[in-house]
Amino acid sequence: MSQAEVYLDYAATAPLHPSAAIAVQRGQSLVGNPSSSHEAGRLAADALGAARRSVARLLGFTPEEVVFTSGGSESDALALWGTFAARGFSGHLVTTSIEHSAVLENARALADLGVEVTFVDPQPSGHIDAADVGAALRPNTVLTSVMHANNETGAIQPIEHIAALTRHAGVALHTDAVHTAGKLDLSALGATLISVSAHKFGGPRGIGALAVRDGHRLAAVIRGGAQESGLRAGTENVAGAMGMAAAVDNCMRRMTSGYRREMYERRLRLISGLYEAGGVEVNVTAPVLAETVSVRFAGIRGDTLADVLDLQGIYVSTGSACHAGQDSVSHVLTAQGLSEDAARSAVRFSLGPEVSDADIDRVVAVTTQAVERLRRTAGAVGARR
Amino acid sequence: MPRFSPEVIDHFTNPRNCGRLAAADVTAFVGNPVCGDQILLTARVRDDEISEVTFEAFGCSAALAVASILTEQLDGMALADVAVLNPDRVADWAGGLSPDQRHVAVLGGDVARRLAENHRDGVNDEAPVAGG
Repeated sequence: MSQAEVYLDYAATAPLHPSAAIAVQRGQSLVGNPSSSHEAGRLAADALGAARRSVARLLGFTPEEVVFTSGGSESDALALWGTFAARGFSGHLVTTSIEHSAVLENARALADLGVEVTFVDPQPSGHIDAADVGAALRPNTVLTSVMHANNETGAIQPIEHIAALTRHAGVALHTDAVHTAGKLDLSALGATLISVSAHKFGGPRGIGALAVRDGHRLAAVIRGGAQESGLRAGTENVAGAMGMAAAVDNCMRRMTSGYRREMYERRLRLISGLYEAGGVEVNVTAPVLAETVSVRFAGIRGDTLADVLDLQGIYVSTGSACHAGQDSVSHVLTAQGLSEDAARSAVRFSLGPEVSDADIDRVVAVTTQAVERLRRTAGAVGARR
Repeated sequence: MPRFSPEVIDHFTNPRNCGRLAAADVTAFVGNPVCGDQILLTARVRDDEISEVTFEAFGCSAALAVASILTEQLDGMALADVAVLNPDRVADWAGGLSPDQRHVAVLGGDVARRLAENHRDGVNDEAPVAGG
């Protein structure tokens, strides 16, 4: 990227960390298949095992409980499908209306197969009330799936409280920790299943993991081999796993430094700067992931603002977009109770370690100017919103 | 491949004739009720030709650009020609629109024709009528 460009879409994907890139290169030089019994195969298996141990440390599970997958979506699919496939697609699933579509779409597909599904709505703050999850549990509830932090708003959900409720009820708990892995400590969440994806924290794309607590019955979705303890057939992505492990090691070193405090300070710098534009609302309250800054600007459209920023080399995201005259409004923000117009005015700035204070200041200046111009263009038409 | 034509980028980043004419002869206001794009045009008319036209617009980037483009293209145009303006011509003025941006050419054509119809009928739009 040129110096003038500012990448603020880490929640979509983070840049590959240099140590991960080196690890991937090393992995690609390993010619053996980890399932082969010869020396070349054993070297690949050893490298895969070392990577698995790193990822296990991140998750607070044993290496034997870690299943490598192609990423977060596959991990979510394996957690939901695998759990209910192992039970003849019967029983009850509790999830929330603000999950990533990788969970929502699988939940809806399971409902089509006869699984009972309850979607718990969030509070206006963007958070799920643990008591609402507890109230949704039934005698036949098999699994609860609640994300650790929301991908659009960054709202951190009370997973530890939910885990206490589900444990007491004898129900398994899955959490999609794609947006918190490498940022927050996952080892004490108390979940039965945890989904993570490497490219969200500096690892390569195309590799992720599902942690499966020993004793949880899970059926494979991809079949045809004994890899990954029989839970995910197919020759393992050794280079990807090594890159993921390198990114994990880097993140775990960072977690013990003052990095989290720096990230919260950078979040505050961005939000306080954006307030200068006036008519700005943050779409979530604490607890929130420092990296995810979801705000809305009265009287303008978020996708239009994102286009202005894009043309000036600032890359952000929005949960809503206008495509071919059809509307796509954020299911997360509307579930929180925002009107469709308010949800359409939202923009997500997502931060990462490479973002500097100077970058934040440039983003604030360009965004404030862009918002002012778009409001002038909209005039009274926009003020009706 | 760029998402927008140079014409769309030019007008989106440097909109022309933005605002509302104080003593307009006619006002047209059209909105797409599905995606929410809205364009309002106010114009002065002399000898059955548009002599000055301005816009206010809310919506996607291409909709804002088309609103600005319309004000340049309609200025000096005979109302009889405005009354039959079709989306293809609007898309040409915009330097071409991708299939997912095509709806703004329809919205642009709708608001321009509405302007001519409103002048003929002696009415002005207070609220958006469905189009696009």
